[in-house]
Amino acid sequence: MKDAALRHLLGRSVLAAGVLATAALGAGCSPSAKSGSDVEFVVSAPVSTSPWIARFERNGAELAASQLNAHGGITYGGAKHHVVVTVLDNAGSPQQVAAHARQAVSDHAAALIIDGVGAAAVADVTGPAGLPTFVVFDGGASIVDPVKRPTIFRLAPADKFMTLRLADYLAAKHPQVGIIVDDTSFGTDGLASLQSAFARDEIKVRSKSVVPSGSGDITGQVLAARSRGVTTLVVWAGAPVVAAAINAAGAAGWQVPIWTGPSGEDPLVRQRVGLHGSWLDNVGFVSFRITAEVGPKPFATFRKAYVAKFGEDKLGVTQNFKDVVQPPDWAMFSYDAVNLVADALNKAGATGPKLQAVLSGHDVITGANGDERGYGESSREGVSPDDMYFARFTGFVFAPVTDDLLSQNLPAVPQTL
Amino acid sequence: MTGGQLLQAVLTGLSLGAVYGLVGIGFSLVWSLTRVLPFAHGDLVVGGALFAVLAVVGTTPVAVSPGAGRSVALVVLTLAFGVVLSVVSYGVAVRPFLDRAGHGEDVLGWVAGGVTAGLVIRTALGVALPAAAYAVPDPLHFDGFTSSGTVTLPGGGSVPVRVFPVIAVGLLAAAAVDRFLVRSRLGRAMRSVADDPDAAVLCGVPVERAVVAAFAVAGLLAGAAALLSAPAQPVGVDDGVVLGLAGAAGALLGRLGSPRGALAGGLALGVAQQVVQVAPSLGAAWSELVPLAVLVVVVAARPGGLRAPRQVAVE
Amino acid sequence: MTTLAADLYLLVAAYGLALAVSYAGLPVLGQGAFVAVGAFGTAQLEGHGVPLLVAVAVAVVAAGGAGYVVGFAAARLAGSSLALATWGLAWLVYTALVLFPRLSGGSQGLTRPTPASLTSPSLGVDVVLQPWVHVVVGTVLVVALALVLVRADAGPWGLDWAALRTGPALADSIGVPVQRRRRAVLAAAAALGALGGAGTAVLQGVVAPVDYSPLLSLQLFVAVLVGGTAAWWGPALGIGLLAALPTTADAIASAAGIDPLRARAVLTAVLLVAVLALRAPAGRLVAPYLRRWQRRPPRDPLPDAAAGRDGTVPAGEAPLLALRAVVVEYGAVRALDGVDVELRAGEVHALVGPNGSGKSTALRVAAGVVAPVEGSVRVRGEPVVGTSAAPRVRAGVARTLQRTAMLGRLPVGRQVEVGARARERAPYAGLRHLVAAPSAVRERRERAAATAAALDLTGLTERFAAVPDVLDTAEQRLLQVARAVATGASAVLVDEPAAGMSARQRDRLAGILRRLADSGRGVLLVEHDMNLVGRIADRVTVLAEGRVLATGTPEAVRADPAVARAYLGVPADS
Repeated sequence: MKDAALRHLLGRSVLAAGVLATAALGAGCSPSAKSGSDVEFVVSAPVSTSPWIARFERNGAELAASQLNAHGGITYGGAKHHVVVTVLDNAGSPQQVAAHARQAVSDHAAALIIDGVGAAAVADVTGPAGLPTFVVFDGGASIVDPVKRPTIFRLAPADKFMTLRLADYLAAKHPQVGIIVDDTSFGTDGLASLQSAFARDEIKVRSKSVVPSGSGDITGQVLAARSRGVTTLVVWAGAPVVAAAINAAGAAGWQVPIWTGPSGEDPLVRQRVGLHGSWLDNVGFVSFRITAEVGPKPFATFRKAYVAKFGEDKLGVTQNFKDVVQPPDWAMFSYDAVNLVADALNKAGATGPKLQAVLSGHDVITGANGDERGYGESSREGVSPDDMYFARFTGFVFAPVTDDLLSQNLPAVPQTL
Repeated sequence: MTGGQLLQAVLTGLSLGAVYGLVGIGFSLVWSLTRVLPFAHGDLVVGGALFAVLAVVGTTPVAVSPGAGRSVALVVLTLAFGVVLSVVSYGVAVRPFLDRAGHGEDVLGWVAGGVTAGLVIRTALGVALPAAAYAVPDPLHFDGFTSSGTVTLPGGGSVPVRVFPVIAVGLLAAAAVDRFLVRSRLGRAMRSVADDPDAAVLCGVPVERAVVAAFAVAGLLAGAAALLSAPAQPVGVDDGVVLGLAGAAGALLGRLGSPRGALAGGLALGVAQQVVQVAPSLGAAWSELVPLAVLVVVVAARPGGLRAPRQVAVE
Repeated sequence: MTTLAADLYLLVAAYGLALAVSYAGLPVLGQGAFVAVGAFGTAQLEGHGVPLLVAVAVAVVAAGGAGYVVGFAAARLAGSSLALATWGLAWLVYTALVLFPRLSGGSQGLTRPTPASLTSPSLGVDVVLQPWVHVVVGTVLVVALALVLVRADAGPWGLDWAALRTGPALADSIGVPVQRRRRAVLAAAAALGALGGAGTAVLQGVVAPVDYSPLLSLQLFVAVLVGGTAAWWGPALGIGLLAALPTTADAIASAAGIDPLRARAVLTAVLLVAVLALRAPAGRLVAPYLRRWQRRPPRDPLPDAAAGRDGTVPAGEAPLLALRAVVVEYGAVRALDGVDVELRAGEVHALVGPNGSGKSTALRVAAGVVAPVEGSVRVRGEPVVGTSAAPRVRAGVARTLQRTAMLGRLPVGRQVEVGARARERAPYAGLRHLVAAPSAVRERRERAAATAAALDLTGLTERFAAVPDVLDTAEQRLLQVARAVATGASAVLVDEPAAGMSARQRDRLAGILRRLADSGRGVLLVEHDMNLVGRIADRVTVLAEGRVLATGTPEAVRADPAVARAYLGVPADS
């Protein structure tokens, strides 16, 4: 009787093992499209959660890959290697990004391209393997660290540089600043870094408020700032809050200059303010420049190739009966990352630590907009403060401001078809 | 906190609460007829708004007031999508799990069914609308009552002008449902089913029709809530769940099954949330937790709602 | 390796949830919240310098405590309210994690060095927790959990769980401590969820709110629904399906030429819908193979084992049950207004009266589910208080419900066994069963004996393996009586047993009730059929408008002019 029970239990355990094995099989195998002579770039992007970011991240890398492949691929180690881009959805999860990093390491990929989420977790994985990782979107302060995370390279504007540049630029105007940030880490980190930058430049901060991310109405905060004598609003927040600030100031008839971070050019801002296009005239944003001192030609070439491959990104807004479009500005970074790695691979002869050594040894290429891209031993920022610029929407054209030395010579980039 | 800020918080809270109230009335109505908690109810609101936008405007909506034709189409389609989604989710995800052949209802089944129906709505929307948030046009032109779209309040505050029509329409819609339940034949049938389903069957009330009508009315109210709330801020595909839970929390602040209680509870919840937001040491993050915390605490303490009589026995 | 380990830890959380959902029948939609407590608790504690294992233990215990608190609040709730409360909890925890980055590390999450290592110089331990170590740990945990679940389900806990999931109200009426069991189950589920969460935190080295969103709660819920009711393999199959989902989606996407990442989202939803639709049929398909034991014939009763505990009491002691001057109010209505009722061993005592006279209320007071505002209830001379049925059953008072309430589709024998379980007062029965303690084996035999005796007494022995659907009305009522008898109650309260029965069935019922009384038990009967009452009742108490009109033998009562005026306006035997 007891034996029977035991056998029964044993039988069940065997069945259990079978089920578990099925589960393991299901989980374990994931297909990889690459063959022995290929060189792989793994792109881990928030496809399902932030497709706007993911699209540029993926398209830039794929454009670079197809251009490289048109010339036979990347030459290193005495052979030509076809370039393969593997795009994985990380759904904004650091755990997923870390998993993709492990996959990249086991695939012996040349480089990993991420938006920035999970950078700390990735560093633990790619560090020992010497796999270079490029952060092409997130400008957060805590992401790069040349000492602790040598394999993490940022090829995107750092928030800190942008706030410093904004403070320097505004200082000359002697404004009374009101700061509005949202309650995301982008917003709260931005608040800290704006405050220290303004303190350094002795700019008076009259009011500051933290609003919920995604707020549709921040009239109260905007009017509170106005009543404290604010003459310039700095909104460092996601697109919904930027749009809400513009709407609130516009509705109150308050002609106040509003400065925002790069989220100011998120399509959502223009879609939300669509009703009152003129309110955008007061809005400026600090961003990375799309064009360089050498003129708009390199970017125009890049844009043409991009549009030929992926089409234009329309916003749904029209200006004088023309569709307003989003230029492929952010896509430059993953594009440049792939090209920089290709160049370094050529010199290093192999992926892994050798490639990592070349990348951190002042290997420099000319990027999509004509700027130079490269890193030194102790630098992991690919976009220098000098590459930041200030622009306004004027009639849906991103026009550089004229009262900033580094911005005034840049050409405007049309945003209509 | 100044008096002006408080007035502003109360007004925006009332407009938020009117939306909670409409969602809560639907939630409560469905519960009273079927003893089913409609877990997909919040997704009907966002589903109604965004499916209508997809049908009329396309995948890149802009917050520009649409013309007359489009406005009518948007209003009609938003309400229609609310009704259709509600009735379909009942038929597909709830009905199969109710009391069949005397086996008793399958609570696990309809709970999972409702939650899954919500997920299906969100996934379907996500395929067409992948961005985090969208600008939704306002077919009711509520911002057009003043040129700036806002109203300055005594005490220095200011609110969007749309809060006034939102409160008014919310109250009117709730009153209309209340009258419908009291006056109309179908409404009376629905109330008799809510009071005692067995007796209603004996009296020849078409129970199934009354239940479908309850889901339809709930869907209609969800559509109305969508028309009132969606144009006020960017709308994300996933925003519906918390809205539905907030509506449920409002309904529970009254008494489940009471439309007036759901409206009053929703209004109170909306005001509480806005007041917490402007309160000095609390702020935005705490304000977002208010509806969820209220929901969890009230359900645990008084599952039938704060104003429901205490249960006498386990039965 | 890492993915496999992560899935195994997820499976640990799923097994915890399965305990609540598929064993105890509680629709818990917030397991993700407890997983998050384990993950963020471990990460936070470790970040503050607590040693790894201590951090894991503290986080798991904290989550278990949280589960117990939820259980404390939720034990009273109907299933639907529990679902709403836990779904709200899932969103509350997730929203709080998102809104308070100090707690959760924000979108980047909290990180810790990975792989972790366990170092203790004093014990000479120095282990690096490579992914394969996690796989071993996870496998051991999962196999142990599955074995424990299978073993526990076959014992006293299994009976309690079956009662909880199939009919909580009924379970309460036959003495299953419903609220205590629910609290324990929820605490265990939460602790296992946290254990899984802590495992993923240590394994992955990073925890961020997005990984512990309500979607996780939903996925776990559906994963444990896959296997249907009380199936040990259910969670494994469910998590296996979830784990295989991305690969499958990619394959389908490349075959159909659509975007793989869109396909994955859609396929997840489709899988959930399919699981729901196929749940019932799949359960029916598999059940016969897994429930073979249910067709076992009852064992021979052990006459000595149940001796003295079968509810029979020598006549002439203090009354089994005595209601004295009981007053009950529902709001402004006085349902009972100073009622005296006494039940002695060996008698059938009938409570009669028109609708609303308070006879069912009197029965409920006797059963302990309604508390009187005035007056006293004594069981065998001992005063009893409170409105919990379980202690009343243990004191020897059990009732049947007015409607034909069933413990779902559990076979007859199992339903009666649930009743027999209620008589046991031995603590830690489930734990002792797990380790096959001799005392547990003895209790099991006694339970089988009591079950067989109750079935024998009610003439249901032949129906041991039948599901309730095939029973006729009379047999369903008798099954209720058998369950009450199996609890070992000396006072059996029977509420309108003859409703809807044919004449022949009534005869059978009458014989069995009489037999119950003759065996030394007391039967308190609420019944409309005066013919039946006249045939089997030793004493009759007539109630009207919450007061006692008359008490005595059926003949004496029938002759009472007050009764004839108020109630029996026509001759009783018409």
